Formats: sequence, C-alpha cells, structure tokens
Amino acid sequence: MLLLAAATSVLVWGQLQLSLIEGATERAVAEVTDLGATDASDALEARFRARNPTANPVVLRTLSVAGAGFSLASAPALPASLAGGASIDFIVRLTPAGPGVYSAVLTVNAASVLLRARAVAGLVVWLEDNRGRVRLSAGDKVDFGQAEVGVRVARRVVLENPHRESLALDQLSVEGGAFRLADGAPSSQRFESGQEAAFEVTFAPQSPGAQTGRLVVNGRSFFLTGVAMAPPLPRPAIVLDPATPGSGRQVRVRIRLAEPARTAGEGELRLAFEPAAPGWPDDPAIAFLAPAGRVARFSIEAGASEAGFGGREEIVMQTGTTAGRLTLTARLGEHVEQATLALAPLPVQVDSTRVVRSSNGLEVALAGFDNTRSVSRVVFTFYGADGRVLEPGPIAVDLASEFRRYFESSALGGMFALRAVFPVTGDAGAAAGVEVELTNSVAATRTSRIGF
Amino acid sequence: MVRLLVGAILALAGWAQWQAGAPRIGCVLDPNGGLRPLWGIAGNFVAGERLAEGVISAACRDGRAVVKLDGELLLVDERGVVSGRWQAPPGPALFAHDAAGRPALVYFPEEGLLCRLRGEGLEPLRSFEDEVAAIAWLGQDKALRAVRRHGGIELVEFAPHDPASDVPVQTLPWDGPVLALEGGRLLLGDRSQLLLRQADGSFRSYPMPALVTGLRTLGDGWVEVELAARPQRIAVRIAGEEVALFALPEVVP
Repeated sequence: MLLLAAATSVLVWGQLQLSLIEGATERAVAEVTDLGATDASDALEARFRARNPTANPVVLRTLSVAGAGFSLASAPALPASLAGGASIDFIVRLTPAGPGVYSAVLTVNAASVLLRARAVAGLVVWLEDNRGRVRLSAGDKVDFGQAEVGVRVARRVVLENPHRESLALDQLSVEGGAFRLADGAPSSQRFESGQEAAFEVTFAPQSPGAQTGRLVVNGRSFFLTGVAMAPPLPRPAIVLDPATPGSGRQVRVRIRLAEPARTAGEGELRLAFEPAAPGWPDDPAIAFLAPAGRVARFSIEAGASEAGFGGREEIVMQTGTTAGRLTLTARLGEHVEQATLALAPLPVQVDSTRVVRSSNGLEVALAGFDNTRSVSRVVFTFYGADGRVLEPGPIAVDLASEFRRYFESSALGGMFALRAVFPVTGDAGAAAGVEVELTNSVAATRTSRIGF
Repeated sequence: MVRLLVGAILALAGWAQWQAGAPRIGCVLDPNGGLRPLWGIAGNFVAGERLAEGVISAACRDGRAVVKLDGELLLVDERGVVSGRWQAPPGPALFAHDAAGRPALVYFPEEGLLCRLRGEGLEPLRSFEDEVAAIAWLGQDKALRAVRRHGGIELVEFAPHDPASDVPVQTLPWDGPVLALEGGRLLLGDRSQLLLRQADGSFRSYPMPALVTGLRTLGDGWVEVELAARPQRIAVRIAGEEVALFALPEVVP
C-alpha cells in the first residue's frame, strides 16, 4: 500500500489520502515530508488534511506523532468516521528545544510517514518586567494594557544571543501609530555569544480606543496591543453672576473646571424649577436664552479651564418671576454638580410706570411682578404741585380678586401689568404726581412719585 | 383748582376702572421673518406665538403692530388680530408714530414714497429721492427724516404734505444704523457706542460691548441692538437718559 501510494505521489493511508495545507494550497504528503525551518525560539505548526477518497465511510482510529519536540496541537476525537469524500484537519506542532534538526513519525491508522524540520539559531526576544523575563515566540502578543490618551506606557524588551555563534540583528522596527521604539534601541549590529541588548517599546495613544501594532525582529513579528482611555474629565463648578440672584433677574452662568482639562469633552447644563406653592404653574421665563430652553450643551477643549457654550464663555439665564427653587445641574463625564437658587418670596417689584392725564381723567399704568401671585391691596395717592396729598387722601382698592383672576389665566409667571383709570370732572391738571402702594403676602411696596 | 380735582377723585373713585393683564414690551422678529409678541419686564422676557409671517419691517407700540409684508401693510391689534390690511409697494418700510402711539407715517424706501396711514388706508403724500434711513413724527404737521449723505446723516424737518417745506436742521458725522424713537428722538449706532439724540438736538452716548451693526424697534422705549460677532440678541431699554442692556431670548422659528 505504501509503495503504491508513493508511486502515485499521493499517499493513501488505510483508504485515507493525506496532504499538507500551506496557505491556500494543498500539497500531497510524501513518505518523508520536510516541514521547513523555524527559529529555535518559535514553534512550527503544520496543518494536515486526511480525506476519504472512496464512496464508502472510513473510520480514523489512530492518529499520533512521535518525536522529540513534536505534538498534536489540534486533532479530532477518535475514532472519527469520515463519509465518502469527506476530510478532517489536524495540526502538528514542533516546539524546538534549541537549534537542530528534528524528526518525528506521524501515524494515521495503520500507516506512517516521517516528518522533518529544522530549528535555526536566532536572537531570543524577551519581555522583561519587575517579575522577570518571558521569552516571546513569533506571533505572541505584547499587551500594554490600558493607558490614558497622552500618557506613555513602556515595555522593556531584551534581545539575547544564547548560542555559540554570533548572530546579526538586521531588522528591528515597530509598526502602528501609537507604538514607538524608544530612543536607545539597538540598530543593525552583531550579537556575540552571550551578548544581549535591552530597549523599550512605548505606547503613547493620541485618541481613545483599541490600538494595535507590530514589533519586527529579523522578520519575526510580535503583536502589540493596547487600549487608550480618554482621561477623566475635570469636575465642573457652576459659577453665577450675580452669585445669589432673586426673581426677575438675568444671570450669567459659567462652568469652571477644577483643573485644566486633559482632554476635550462635552457636557450638559440643565435647569429645573420647583414653584414655592404646589399649585402654581411653571414659569416659561425661567430658561437659558441662547440657545433657548432649559438644557444647554457645553464643550471643553483640552487645556481649557472653563467650558464654552457655542463659542461663548457664558450663557445667560432668566430667574423668572415665580418664587421657588431653581436647580442647575452640570454633567461632565462622571461628574454631576448642582447649584440651587432659593427664589425667596418678595414684595411686589415695579419695573415701569406710566401716567397719562387727559381732560377728563387720569390713567396710571405700571408693570412689574409679584412672585407670590398674591397682590391684594393697592393704594393710589395723588399729589398736587405743592407736594401736598390731594383729598380725599390715599385711595385704597382691594384688587385681590382681579389679580387672582389674572394669575389663574396667565402663563407668564408672576409678571403683570396694571392699568387704573380715574375719571375726573374737574381740572385734572391739578394732579402733579401719584404714588402707588401694592401689598402682597410678603409686604407692601411703594413706588416713588410718578409725575404727570 | 385743587379742590375741584380732589372732589372729582373723591366722587369718582368708586367708578375707577382697573385691569390687570400681561405686560407687553412689543414685538420681536424671528430669523424666518415671523413676528411675535414680546411679553415681559426688564430682564424677564417671553416671546409668544407668531402674529404674522413673511415680515420685512414692523414696529410695535402700545401692544399694536404695524407690519410690512412684501406687498401688504397690516395693522395688528393688542389681541393679535389683523385690524387693517392694505396693498403696499414692495420692500421694507419705515414708520413714524404720532404722540398717541398710533402709526402715522409710512415710508417705502424702494419707491421713495411717503404715505399717511389713516383708518381708510394709505394716502400718498410726497416722494424723496435721497436715502432716507429713519422718519419721526414731530407733531403739528411736522416730521423729521434722517438722510444718508456724504458719509454722514443729515436731519431734515419737513411738512409731510408740502414738498417745499424741507429745512435741514443738523448734519451728523456718523453713518451707522439710525432709528427714530418716540418724541422725535433718534438713536444712532457709531462703532461701539449708541448715541441718543434728544428732541432738542442734544446728544448722549452709551458704550456698547461690540460694534453696533443694526437697530430695530421692539416697543415703547425698547430697541433691539445688533452687535457684530455677538450671536446673543441684545435689548436696550431707554428711559429718559438712562440706557440699560439685557439679553433677549433666542426665538426659535
């Protein structure tokens, strides 16, 4: 059987054909099969394929490799039945103990073939750390672990010639954007017996994510891997100007960082409002102005000490005209910082006044806000040109129901406009000014004198 | 005299009328030509729903708006209802209000045509060939126009009905934006300052944080100021000689 198979250059082993897989090609196995050469530090693996060329099933009962340094790296569980035309792969590995010629007998069912391979002397590549050295074989992975962007991580590599003859270093290079050969790495040189040289490979990522590279020593490749992490973003602090505003104010808001940012990032500033009384509606004026709304995105640049809002250093917000609690929440990375403003109940605040005198009446108009929505009593006091109060003296009006009706229908917080018209039949020109006092649940507030 | 008034107030106080309502600053234009009411007080603004679209020019006083569309002029009342609508020349318009706050004069720069706005419509009065930047009503059939000329602004008083009535009153060495305010006052932008010209011809200046590139009426005593390289819209309140700056809310179309 063996001779017949050799004559046809295709060995048939107990009705199995055996071939060697080399990349995309499949080569028939001879009685003596040369597996080639490898560096004495590297394993050599050969993939074989056993095929049943007949139309009938064949059982694979025996599969073994016998020889110093040889082993089966991958093999099917036995017995294995192969249907007609089917095939099965297995891998033979040579792990050389040192330079030399190695051979082994590969047995497939009842027949055998001789495998031969050579291990050549080469520079040994060691990965060294505080715990010692690990010898690297081609294809091994050197893991740099996790590193922050901008941070440099180094691994120490040692080249050694443990053999009797001198060896040349013809090629030493690193590929992959985040990986570098550190200064001081050996260049082309000869290594005498027992000589060694150490150098560093560094991982200095510039952007987050998994990174790969390659260390090449005399054609042997070692894979470099590392994961780049964005540096943690600094803690944000919410800075208000003015620092403790009340209702009816515009406030400049900045985000100051606890330390200069080591990386760029984005965050969010959110505004929430809780009215002082449960039944009060939301106040639409409580918002950031540009972009309008209650959520604003901010960004930080690497090296910056403050955040930017669309290119500006600050964002303006309004505190509205409703008493309550306003909470600003800044989120940046893992940090969540809050600033709370207590918008205390205030006496009525008058923003603008206008008086109009006609031949038959006096009109008093004012605008302002009551952040308690509780205006009740309004008193008008008219003055003559001599500064004396005109009779009948202060005119008090209970406007509680008028304001209650207005606030129940208003969606503008505590803002209001009040227009009062006093018909007169005499000479309205005698009235030189008026003062208005408005009372809410907090206190009474009085305007300065408004001249006609 | 005083006794008469006192008696009147004493007698009629019970008949006085009171009304609480929403405070209206005026109107604001959104980036897409939508006109919206601007509610609020100083430092606390809320823009309302659209009153009109396709607006080229507008002016608001006392809650009412006069609005120029491409081929129409509208009057919008306090409730947001269109109370008047007339055909008008194309392009922008300048407005002048009378002492009672009613729109009195309308100027159409593309036609060079000045019209009187009456209840029944637009009454053509006269035309100007110069580059009119602003008009103001001074009362008693007298008006003022600001004309760009020779790199400056010339102020000319005139009678709206009389083409032979022009009287130059002042030449200003500035050619920035200009806006007519109530009471015959003018507001001008010159580099990074605002200049307020009172009716008596005197000036006061107010520093601005950046180059003034545009002025627009918001409402009584309120002006929107456009500043170079400042996306934040700025509102300026002018009360007497006092000027105060506030940020305006972004109006999203």
